[in-house]
Amino acid sequence: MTALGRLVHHPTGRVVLVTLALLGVACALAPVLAPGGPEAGSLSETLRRPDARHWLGTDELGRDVLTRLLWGGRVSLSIALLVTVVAPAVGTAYGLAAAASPPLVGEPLMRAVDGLLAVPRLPLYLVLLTLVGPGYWSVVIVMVAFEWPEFARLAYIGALGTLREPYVEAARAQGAAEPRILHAHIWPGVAGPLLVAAAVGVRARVVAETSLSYLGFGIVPPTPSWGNMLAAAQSRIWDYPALAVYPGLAILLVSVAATLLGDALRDALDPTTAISRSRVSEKGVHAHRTDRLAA
Amino acid sequence: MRTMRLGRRRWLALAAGLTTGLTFGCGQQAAPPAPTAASSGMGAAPTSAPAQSAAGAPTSAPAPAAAAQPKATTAQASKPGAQAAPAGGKRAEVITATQLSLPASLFWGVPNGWSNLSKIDALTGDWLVMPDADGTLTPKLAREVPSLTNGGARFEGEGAARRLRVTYRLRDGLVWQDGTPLTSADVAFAFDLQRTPDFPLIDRSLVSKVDEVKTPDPLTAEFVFKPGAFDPDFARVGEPYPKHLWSGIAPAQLLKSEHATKPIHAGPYRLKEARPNEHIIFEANPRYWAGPPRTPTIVMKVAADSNAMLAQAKAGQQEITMFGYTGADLLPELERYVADGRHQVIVRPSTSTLIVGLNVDRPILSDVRVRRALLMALDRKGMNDAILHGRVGVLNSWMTAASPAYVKDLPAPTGGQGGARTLLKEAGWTPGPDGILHKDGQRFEITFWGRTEDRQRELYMQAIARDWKAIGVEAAITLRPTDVVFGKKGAGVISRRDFDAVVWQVSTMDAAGGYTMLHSSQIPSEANQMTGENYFGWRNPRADELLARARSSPEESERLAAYREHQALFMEDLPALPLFSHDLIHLIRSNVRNYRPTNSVRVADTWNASEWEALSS
Amino acid sequence: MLRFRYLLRRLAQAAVTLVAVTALLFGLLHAIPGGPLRNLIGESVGADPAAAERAEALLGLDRPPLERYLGWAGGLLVGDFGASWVVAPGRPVGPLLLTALGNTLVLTGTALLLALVLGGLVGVASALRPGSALDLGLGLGSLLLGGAPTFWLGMVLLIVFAVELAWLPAGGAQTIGRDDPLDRLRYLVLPVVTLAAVQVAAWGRYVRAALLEELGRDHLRTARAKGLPETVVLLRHAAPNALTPLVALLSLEVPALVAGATVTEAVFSYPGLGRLLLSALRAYDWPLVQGIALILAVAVIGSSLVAEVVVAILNPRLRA
Repeated sequence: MTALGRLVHHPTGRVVLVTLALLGVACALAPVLAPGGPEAGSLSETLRRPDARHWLGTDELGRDVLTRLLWGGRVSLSIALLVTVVAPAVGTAYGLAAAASPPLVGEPLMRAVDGLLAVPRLPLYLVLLTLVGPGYWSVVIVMVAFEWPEFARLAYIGALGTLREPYVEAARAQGAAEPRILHAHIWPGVAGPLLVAAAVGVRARVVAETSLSYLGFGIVPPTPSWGNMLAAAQSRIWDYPALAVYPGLAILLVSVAATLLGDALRDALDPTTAISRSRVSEKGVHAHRTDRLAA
Repeated sequence: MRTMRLGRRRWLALAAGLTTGLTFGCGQQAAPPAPTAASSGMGAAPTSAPAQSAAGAPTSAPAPAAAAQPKATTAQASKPGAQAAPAGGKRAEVITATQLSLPASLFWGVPNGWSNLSKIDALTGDWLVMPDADGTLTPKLAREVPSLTNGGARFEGEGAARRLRVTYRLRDGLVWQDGTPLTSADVAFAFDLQRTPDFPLIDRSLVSKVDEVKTPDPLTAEFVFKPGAFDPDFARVGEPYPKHLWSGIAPAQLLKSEHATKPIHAGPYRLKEARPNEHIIFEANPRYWAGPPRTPTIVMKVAADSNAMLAQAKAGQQEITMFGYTGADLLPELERYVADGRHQVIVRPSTSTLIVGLNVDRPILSDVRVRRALLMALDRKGMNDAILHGRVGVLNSWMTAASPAYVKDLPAPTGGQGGARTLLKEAGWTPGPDGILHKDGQRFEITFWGRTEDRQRELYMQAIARDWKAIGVEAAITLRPTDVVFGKKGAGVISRRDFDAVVWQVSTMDAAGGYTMLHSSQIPSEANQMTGENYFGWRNPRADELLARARSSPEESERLAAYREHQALFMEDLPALPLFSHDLIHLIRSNVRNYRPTNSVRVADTWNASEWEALSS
Repeated sequence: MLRFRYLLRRLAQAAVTLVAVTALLFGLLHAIPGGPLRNLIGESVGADPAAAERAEALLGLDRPPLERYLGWAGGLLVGDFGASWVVAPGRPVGPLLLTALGNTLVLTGTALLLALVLGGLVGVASALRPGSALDLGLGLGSLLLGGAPTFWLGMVLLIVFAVELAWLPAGGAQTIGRDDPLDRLRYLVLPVVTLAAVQVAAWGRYVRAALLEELGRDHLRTARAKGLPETVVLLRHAAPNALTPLVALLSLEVPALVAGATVTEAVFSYPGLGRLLLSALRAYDWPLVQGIALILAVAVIGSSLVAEVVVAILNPRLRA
């Protein structure tokens, strides 16, 4: 049974996959479901309670909340996904390269990466975003720039470990070339933890982007993001408190789903750990670290 | 060892539980502000020894003498002597006021912007004369306001040599807050310092008209103006600086010295503790010439934004909340909140206006039809109703509604978005495939500047950008810190005229203000050393002429006619799109007395802080 | 002997990194257009033309960037961090940083303590009865709590407890004028709870996982065979082994202690280092940003250096 198969048969895995898929599809289809765009609205309809036309009511400029949640989800989710795809790719390449190269080159490369790992993310993001200015691509680039080190490290350690295995030596003795060794022997060992880390990190990335947008450094209005919707809602607390609840719930939903997905992936990829739920060693430490984002 | 670890954990949990329990317990007691003793919420604020209690312990020497002095004629800022609390109330020891920002520098020698430093200034300082809430000058350190009628100011000499002489007579026994006597030497010192080029005084227009200052005795200072020089504001030309403190320091260094962090003045309160960006604590000055102020301690603290201010007010953390214009969108909530009578809302019509300034030298905006279309497309009434709950009026002028020369009934271009599109089409702009207007291959894209940290304005900008988008104009909202946008002399984006549109709050009450903002000579250039504020670049000879007439014509009717025509021209040419003026909102607890905020930029809300009191019961 | 040289080498590396980081930041910050600030001059009409130049000289902005950097760095050596431009114009940055840092450490330290204690309790309770209703309930609870973004949780707590119920203050660090710990504690409750919530979830999961893995080990069979109750097995024999890596983890927490509360401080207007950083960045107050960045860099580099040295001392094999 493949990993995916195990994932789908895992009880929580199934639920989570479906939820995330639905959410993702809904946000992706925002242009179809809410064709007016996130800005459409009229000043005569501000802060309305939910009704037939506006299922979650309207915000401070008369815009439909559900529409903005969907469009904001496009932004928040797409950023998280982009980073989830690009950062591991970059990091893995770096880490594998460092592992494959002689220690004299590899060690300092990884030292530099370790340094980056220790820096608290949010202040760094804030400073960098002040420098480059807020916006969609600024956020993506800044986040990728500081997320790849942990994947580099994972890849490096995983690859190093596997490289020492006897079957790799055997493959080398049989004359296999490095790329083939990397692909056939190293990659399967490394891929698992990487995937798990990527999945678990989705939560941290969504929270990071929404925090940055909340503080005004990430996605700025009028483009909606769950973070800046929450910030705007905070000033309308007196008129329409529920306005602040919806974006938060959305983020919570994605966070929980992503965490569960990470767990399910972990179990699916390595059934032996199904009992203990996480490994206390590199993976455990890593999982712990990605659970806690600088808040 | 292992047992200890287990024990420690349990002990920690127990401690945590106890602490949490205690906190909630204590929290319950110190909870919402009781309608009675305002001081209960604050606890025993440590006031230093000299602060007087409300019961009226003996004050130091000058106060009784001041109390005995006749002050019949003028409206005195604070009553003399330590007074007993009015019947039926005990005075609170501390009054706390919250606002959005505290001044940057506390160096009062250089007025640093209008409302913020002036607030602190008016708490710690008294000058020779100061305006009250209506702007009427009242004598403070001087015995009377020198005027042409009472002989305090008179003209001497004839013809070309005619000079104005303004004489101040100081009160007896004045001292600075550190006890040093305040004399006319301090006034002369101030004049000398203000003339020094190194001294960072902004507005030298008044002091540059004075020739010399004579001090025949320690209580008299005479200002002799230059021949032919006159200024209607002559009574404010004199002020004292602490010679004994400042004379040893190089003028340029004064802003960096401790006098910028721990200022000494002669007013009712002195600075006790200042934490930048957080709060400043003021304690009563026992040596104040008019007797100790009624409330021993005043705290001015800062909150992040209007919502934080309201949340803190509801949590009982202050007696006075100075919302300013940011309270305008909270009015319905405030009115709900004050319904139980424990708080009151004070509303003052503002003297400032919000406008969208346009750079008419930009090709896209140079056609007046385009500018008119931009105004037509805006749903100003809708914004007013939605964001400000319909409380303030839509403005059709560059003057503020509070100004006597404001003309109310000028027409604005009507036609809505349909009319706007038609007008733009006339000007050659047609919609492209993406809905944005095109002309000769150029898209109608403009930059739209504003400052950060102002949620209300951000909302306006979004609403405006949305309305413009509907007619095919793409406005890119860019928010930056205040100084980056509005810095003077080329430091800021708009003074470099590097903008298309900007949301700007201006405060123009009269032709003098209008001159700086709208006269063609005031477009920032080499000629005026980049200090002009006509950032729009409006050049209209007729308007210039009208402005001059409005300023200097001796006939009132002529002046009013000039104002009217000028404002009409403005509304036709639209170098800027007027939006609204806002009311200034304050929230106070009902037991606070004598809080009288002003809407004048010349007078701070704390002008009579020595009279503030919060009474229990 | 060997240790000493190693230590020196690492210290030198750390110093170089520090200089590189601060120089890089300085260069980046001063490259942003938007010029120095004229707060000292103010916004009034008819500004004296020469006054602007005087203000620039006052702020030291008439010198080239390299000279300014060296001036700043030189000042650091004598403890002068420069003067703030906007947030507290003219005031020295050092004391501002110290006060803010103190406030933040109180907040994050308390939150960490609380999170460790509660997380430990939760983890132990779950590990004792894996799969039970308690375990699942705690798991779900920590999932929800850990998933909620800090700013949202903080906002909700603020509204419920400070505004609606008015049990606790709505922001700030202390009642002005009072300086007693109990008062400060009241102001700390909501921010600490907010900050600790996410951490409790994480620590709980970690402790649970660590204990469960340990519980499966062979050496505990002996303990069980002796007839010891499971609780004792867990706490006296499993826990110590499982939680030794905790030390390593905690050393990674140090930078987070300094910088980890930014969003919480924003929500509660708590005057800590994070909020100071936000104010400084929003106002383009570069001296203040540089000072804060320096503190962060020192915290990061310092803590990893200390951790490395400690590990090296404890494990001679790794020193080579």
